[in-house]
Amino acid sequence: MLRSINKKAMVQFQKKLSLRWSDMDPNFHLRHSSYYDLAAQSRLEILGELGLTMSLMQEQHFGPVIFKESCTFIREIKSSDSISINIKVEKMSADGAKWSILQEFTDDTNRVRAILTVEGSWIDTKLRKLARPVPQAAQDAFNLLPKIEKTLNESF
Amino acid sequence: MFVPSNPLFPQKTLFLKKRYHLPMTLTQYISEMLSTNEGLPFPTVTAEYSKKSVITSIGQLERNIYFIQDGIIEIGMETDAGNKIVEFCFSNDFVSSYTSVLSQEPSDVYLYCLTNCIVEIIPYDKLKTAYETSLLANQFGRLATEGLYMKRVRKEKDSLIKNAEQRYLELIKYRPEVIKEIPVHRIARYLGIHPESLSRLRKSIS
Repeated sequence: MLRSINKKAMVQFQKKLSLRWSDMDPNFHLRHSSYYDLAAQSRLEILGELGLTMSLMQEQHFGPVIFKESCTFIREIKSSDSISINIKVEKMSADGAKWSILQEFTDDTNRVRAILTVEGSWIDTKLRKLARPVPQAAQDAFNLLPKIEKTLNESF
Repeated sequence: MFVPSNPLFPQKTLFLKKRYHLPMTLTQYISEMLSTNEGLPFPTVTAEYSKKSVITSIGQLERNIYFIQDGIIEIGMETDAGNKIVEFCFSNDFVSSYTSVLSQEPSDVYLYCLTNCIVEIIPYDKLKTAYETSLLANQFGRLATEGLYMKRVRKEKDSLIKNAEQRYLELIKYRPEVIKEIPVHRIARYLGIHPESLSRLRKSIS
């Protein structure tokens, strides 16, 4: 017989966005620079749910660092749109030292409105240098993110 | 106390349950399999992967075991001769790049979601820690390993003595939803035959 248990929070690799007035620009659609903030927020929320929280990073003095970030704006996003943003690992080195993440802004019909990619690594916030070896917690969280390729893509 | 319903064939109950295809949490699964009301002796994280995403890719170090609450996951390899499908895993199955977990070498297989999947993630190092103090953790570990072993041996024997048709019949008997959810060309690749041969085979069966 099935026993009912407390349903634990489920990690979802897709976050629903709530767009603010201040995210819009004079053309009444989502401002170009807001895309980056919204993507970063959802990225960090998901990593947090996978155990890589801000407080843990502070404790172990490391954090994510970005080398390159770019966004392709495909269709405009208006304040009334229901937009979700997902996360996928596009490329990653085996030790998790370098990675590239792809995030898609999709609407409720699953049409892609924008695609954002971000390339980065991990920084040791005390030494102000790249964290090597990569902290285990960071590796573990990244290993759980959904990947695009069946074979690890290390072509940076 | 651990009292399996059929001590000689614990897999038998497992088999039956699978045919009913009930999405279960790991706690429910364990309480049913091991007749216990204890909570899990290790922490797990539940996550929802969307269709077509890869959970573990080839070359990555696997550090987790996954319990499929719902969905279908494909285990496969990429070879010079192309993509090979090792196994399809369904709800209430355990799945992992198990050799990578044990040897801590990069994975030689990938885990790919054929449908939207809800999986419960068991970090292997947490399980290992629990092994030292918890009887339930050990019973669970044995159950999971025995299950994997049975599956593997059965598959090895089947590949020796059964032809594609028999293996196909076995697959649809074991998991009737296979036909609906898995694309034909993937089933054919799993059986090691051409998609055309499979559709001919399906026609001759029906």
